[in-house]
Amino acid sequence: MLALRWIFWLTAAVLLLCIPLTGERFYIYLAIQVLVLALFAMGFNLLFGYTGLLSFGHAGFYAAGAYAAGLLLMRTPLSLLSSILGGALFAGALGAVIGFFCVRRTRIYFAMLTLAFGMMVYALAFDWRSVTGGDDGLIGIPRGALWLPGLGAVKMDALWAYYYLVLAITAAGVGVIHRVVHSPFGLVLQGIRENENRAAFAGVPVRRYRLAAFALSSFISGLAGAMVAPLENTVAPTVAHWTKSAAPVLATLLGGIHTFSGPMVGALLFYLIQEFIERLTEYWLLGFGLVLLILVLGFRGGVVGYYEAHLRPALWRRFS
Amino acid sequence: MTGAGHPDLLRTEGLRKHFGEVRAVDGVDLDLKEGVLTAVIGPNGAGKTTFINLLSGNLFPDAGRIFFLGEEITRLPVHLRVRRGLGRSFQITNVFPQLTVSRNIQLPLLSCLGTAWRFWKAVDASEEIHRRTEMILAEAGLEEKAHLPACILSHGDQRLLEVGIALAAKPRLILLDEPTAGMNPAERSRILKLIADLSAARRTTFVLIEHDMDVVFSLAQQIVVLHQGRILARGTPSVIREDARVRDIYLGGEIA
Ligand SMILES: Nc1ncnc2c1ncn2[C@@H]1O[C@H](COP(=O)(O)OP(=O)(O)OP(=O)(O)O)[C@@H](O)[C@H]1O
Ligand SMILES: [Mg+2]
Repeated sequence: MLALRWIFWLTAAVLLLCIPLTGERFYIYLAIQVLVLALFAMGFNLLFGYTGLLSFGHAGFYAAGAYAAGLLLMRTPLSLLSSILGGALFAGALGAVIGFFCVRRTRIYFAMLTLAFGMMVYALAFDWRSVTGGDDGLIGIPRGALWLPGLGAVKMDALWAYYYLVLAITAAGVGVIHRVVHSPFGLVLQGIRENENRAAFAGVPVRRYRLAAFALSSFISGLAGAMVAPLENTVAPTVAHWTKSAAPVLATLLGGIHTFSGPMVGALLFYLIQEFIERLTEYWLLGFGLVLLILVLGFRGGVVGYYEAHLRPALWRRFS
Repeated sequence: MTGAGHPDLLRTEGLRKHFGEVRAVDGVDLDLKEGVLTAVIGPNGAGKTTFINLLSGNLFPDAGRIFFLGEEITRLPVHLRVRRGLGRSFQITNVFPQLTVSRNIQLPLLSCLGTAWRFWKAVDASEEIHRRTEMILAEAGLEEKAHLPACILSHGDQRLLEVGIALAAKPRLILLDEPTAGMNPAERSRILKLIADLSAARRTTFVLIEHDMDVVFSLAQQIVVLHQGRILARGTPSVIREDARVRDIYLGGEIA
């Protein structure tokens, strides 16, 4: 069982490290998209799968990270890495403020509150021209250089170089989430998801934990968004649009809510399905909807959830 | 907890809770000493669960006050009451269904040790938590099932786990709402032995709601009879057994 897991992670790591060797811009770019969505969905799932709160407004935090990182790169002398981190911190702080109001409700009311706040972030990005550039967005964001100990400033102009930075940040973000969900804090979040009343009777200040989860989730989502600003050299209000909030929801449902790696696998599937269907038909959303329907109805718990419940036990029986 | 218990463990003054026309709890004055196992009895709808809900913070009263260890807790949020040592179990089983049995126990342990905010160390890294989990699992007789998700346990085991969760928060007073409800005789004697042992060891003070009069009269040191939201009688089992009003409301049936 353990061995299978290691084989999986090792294969994934080797594949990810090798992608730039293809030399194809298309693949490298696609891989960056997958990594960014993977981290975005992992951050989202901290709140959804682990704490039991479904947010429809996470594009707001993703966008906050992107805009803040973009502005830091354009208007301050901060380095690339500091700007990305700064963007994530800004998103986390915004999450703490918005979360303060949202965690007062649960279930559908919580979802509606997050949707409303997400729309407000979009409106702000669209209307606050002097800061956000309005509907044009931020244009001409420099990618800058990455300062590495021993190597000095490493130029990030080449897409493959930036790919490795995205890979490193995503891996670090996923590592943080892994530790968090296996910590006492993570256990409390799962307890709140399972039974908030019982959690309170276990001595847990439920609302405060939900707020902490909300802020952390926003931070990670912002980190994902922040990596996009230097990639595209521009950030437009569309990153904050509520339809963007659906991406992590779909990725998580595809991959599996109650599994650690589900959202990442879901992010990969999300782009693979999209690329594949786009080649067949221009109505890719229709096809995507169909695939989603099949997966949600046929593979409850997502692909990873299905693997853990059905395929792994079968493999285990055969090889042991 | 050695020596004399706290003389003023819990006290209520004029506690009242109405649901529309229904006077579920209607002016209850009660005081409990530490170390005295109390049973609350009364016919269906007497207000027993509502009374426990007021004490534990699930509901706030319309009027009246509650004191715990001499301090007022009438409107204190649930988790703070638990931290002060006021725990409970529920009439309808209330556990963390998808978490394993040991995780169910660890959650209250962590939050009451004040280490639940740690987000960088693994749960399993703490020797102390491990040791205490083992102890509570052994007391509840659930060691063998430690790694199963709570939802696949038998009803009786879930009830025991329920009490285990409450115990893990290290309560000084623990309110059990029909702990033996729906249990088979073997499970029932297991849970009653657990309660009797812990009470004798003075680990915690129990208040239990119970319908089974054999259990009540064998276990309780004090009995409180609720009827239509009021205390009808209160005293030692022998006094209650002889009380004419109590016999009346039970129609001379069970308390014979
Ligand atoms: N949330 C509520 N809303 C309205 N009425 C309620 C509510 N909770 C309890 N009641 C009513 O209050 C009265 C007391 O109920 P309670 O559950 O406290 O009784 P009980 O003594 O625990 O009964 P049982 O032995 O059946 O568990 C009942 O008439 C009940 O219908
Ligand atoms: Mg009841």
